[in-house]
Amino acid sequence: MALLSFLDREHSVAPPGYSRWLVPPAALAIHLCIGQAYAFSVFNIPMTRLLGITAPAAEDWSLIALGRIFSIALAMLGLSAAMFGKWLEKVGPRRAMAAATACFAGGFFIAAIGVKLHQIALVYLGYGVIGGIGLGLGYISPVSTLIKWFPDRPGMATGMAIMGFGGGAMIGSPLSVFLMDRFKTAASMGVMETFVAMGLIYGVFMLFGVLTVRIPPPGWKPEGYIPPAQPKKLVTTANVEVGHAWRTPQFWMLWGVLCMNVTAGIGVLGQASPMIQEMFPGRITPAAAAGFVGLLSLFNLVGRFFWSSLSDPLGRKRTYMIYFLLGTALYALVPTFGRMGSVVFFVAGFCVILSMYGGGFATIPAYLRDLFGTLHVSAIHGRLLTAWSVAAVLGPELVGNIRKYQIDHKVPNAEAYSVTMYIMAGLLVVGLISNALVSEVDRKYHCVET
Amino acid sequence: MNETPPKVPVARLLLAWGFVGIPLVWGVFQTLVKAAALFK
Repeated sequence: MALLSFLDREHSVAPPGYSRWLVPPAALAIHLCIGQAYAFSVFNIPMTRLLGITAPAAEDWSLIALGRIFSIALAMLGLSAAMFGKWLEKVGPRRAMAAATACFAGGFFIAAIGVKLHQIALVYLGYGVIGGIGLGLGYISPVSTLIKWFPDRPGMATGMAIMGFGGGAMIGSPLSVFLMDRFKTAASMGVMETFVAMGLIYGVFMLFGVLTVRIPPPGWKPEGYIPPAQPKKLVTTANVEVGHAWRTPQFWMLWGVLCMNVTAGIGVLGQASPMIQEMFPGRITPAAAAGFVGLLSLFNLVGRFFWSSLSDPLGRKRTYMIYFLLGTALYALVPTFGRMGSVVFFVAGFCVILSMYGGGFATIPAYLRDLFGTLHVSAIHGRLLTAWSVAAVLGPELVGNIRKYQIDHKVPNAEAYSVTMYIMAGLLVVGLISNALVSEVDRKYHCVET
Repeated sequence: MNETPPKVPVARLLLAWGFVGIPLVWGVFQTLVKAAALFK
């Protein structure tokens, strides 16, 4: 019990001499690990050959069944972030990060047993449900701590952490391939051993975050920081409880902002490889298309830090206005770039779009802090992430179905994405309107100071 | 009374940033290698 009390909020207060610059690496340690979820697809093909090894056997799992693992994990991310946000605010970041570590690493171990016994239900339970809870807890756990440590640069601070989620796939994908190659034998695909190894590696890495994170002492301010006497427009000094926040119109406007921004980006991200090959037939090889996907991931990562840092001097509302206006223009221009046959413009356009997709994720915690204060910002963020879950279904469905409809109606493959791009531009216009409607939260929702 | 400000834990900061920075840079490098195929 004494060991567990180490995780308590009161035992997590920073001692004198603690540098606030230790908090971003603690947050990154969590986000770099949980971001692995976006690289889970590297297991799909090997997991269809667990029994057959060289080719799928009749009893082997299908790609559709395996695709559900990621869907369950992502759904659990949204659900757990929404459900456990308030608990997280109560117990503090260290206990929440420890729980995220136990769930995420434990999820790998249960999934490994599922692979060993060839029981997909165990993989769903392990990586999907339990690991997914780890994703949700881990995603929101460092947010309010970072905002409290960096009241002068909240956008940059949360951008740094959320950038880690984008980077997680870049590490997770080659690491998984390396481990599977290492453990593969004539009788095994090496997936079970890889899951165990990844559970251990990620568990240790996340523990570093648990041990390093601290909360600032009450009333702490950065040296030389003087809070502005006249707060900026749309930046409150009051606090709104999570139970009240989601009843405000501002919460739902931001929900719309996040949902539209993510829907537009995620749909394209999932279809990037076939899209570029079909829009430039004969000019883009599958290897080059994979390179395009990698480049998009990189811009998604860089955008998280760049745009959220820029939002500190620029203001959150203005930053989202740039995302939506520039995004709309670029989406509307993409079909023209395709018709011009300009791969360079096409790639550059999507790189900027994906940087703003990442930026949208990373700027939202600071936007929430501006409107609702720091008290329950992680919990409010958790509830807002349900917009991500909705967008994760909506985006790929829209892109996939519109393309199918076009091809069924004899539209050439190279042209099949044009309508999709115009629809994505339309979604961003809806986001722009939603953002324009964001105003200050009514005082009646503010917490009464005691 | 003179109160000396607490020292910045430079070694700890370097260690912490190195711990997360090295895998991140490795991941970015791997991605750049993959992305290079687009420009060949």
